[in-house]
Amino acid sequence: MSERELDQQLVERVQRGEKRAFDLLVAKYQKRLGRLLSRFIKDSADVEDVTQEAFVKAYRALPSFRGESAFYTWLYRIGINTAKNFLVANGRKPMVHAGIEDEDGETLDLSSQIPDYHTPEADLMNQQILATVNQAVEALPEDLRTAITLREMDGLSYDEIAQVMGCPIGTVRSRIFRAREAIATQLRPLLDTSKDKRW
Amino acid sequence: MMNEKISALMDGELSPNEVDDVSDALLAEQSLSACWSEYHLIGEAMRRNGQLTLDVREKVSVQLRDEPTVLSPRAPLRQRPVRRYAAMAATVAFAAAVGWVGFGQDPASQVVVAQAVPASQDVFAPASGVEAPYLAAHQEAAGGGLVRVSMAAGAKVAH
Repeated sequence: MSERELDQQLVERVQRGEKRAFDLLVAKYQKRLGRLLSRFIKDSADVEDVTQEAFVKAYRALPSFRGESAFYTWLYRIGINTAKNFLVANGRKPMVHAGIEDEDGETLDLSSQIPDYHTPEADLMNQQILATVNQAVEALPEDLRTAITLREMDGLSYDEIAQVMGCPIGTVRSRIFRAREAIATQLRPLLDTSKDKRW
Repeated sequence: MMNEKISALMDGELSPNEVDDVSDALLAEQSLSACWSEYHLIGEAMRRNGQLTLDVREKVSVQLRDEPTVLSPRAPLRQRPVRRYAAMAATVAFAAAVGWVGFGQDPASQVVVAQAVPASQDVFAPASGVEAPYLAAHQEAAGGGLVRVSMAAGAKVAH
């Protein structure tokens, strides 16, 4: 089952009344959507508010989602429209957008010229998470580091990684899992100490 | 190990027959959904996403508590073939129970259908031993002839 099919399955669960399935979609896409919206909106608190609003709008619109496009594409469109409405409502002009294609070849309007603006606290936390993950990845055994890098950075499937690394798919699955667990073990103390803060 | 399955699930690499079980576990166990979030955070950090501290899960969850539960009027796509053939099976079952059959004149096909779809069988599942494509072809061959049915005792209606 592909990622797109998994998303569709989660959407169908929500459409059958399982609200909690939507939590998994929020967890999966919130940071990506936030990154997209930060191209339009400067203030990090506003980015968070608009991201929240976009997800709520997406939830309300789910009965009309038919799976003709990927869920994330549909979500991103809602996010962009929500951001534009926010800017207009706050007396700011929507930025001029440059077209960009997503993984499915669909064009989304993005502005790549707007820098991110964070609060100092959020920025520090961001840097700490990045540093912890980078150090944990560097500390991995080479086979685990290669497997997770090919997956997360290059987007290769398990089958493709197996071909690159010359090992069975089951080994790829195990290596990626072990890499994630090793990194998560380093991250958890950091996340636990900031439970009442954003992370 | 469930965490390993979650890792495979998020990559879209879990076998279809495992997806439901793992999804169920994810929705039921807070620790597993935390694992799901952590693994996604790792990927975003490796891709140097600048929004790593953004977390709207709690706020969205709280807001959705007050929202009406959405229900799609359209049945999920993967259920449609079963429902379509279940409706055909129901039609055939009623016909077999009552004995009024307006299908084609081939006695062999009538016998096969009647044997394969007992009236008492739950018509929400395709009849065992009868391939759905056979039913579809048989229905077409009937040429839309009238089928008069009535509710036999114990028969169920497929919607």
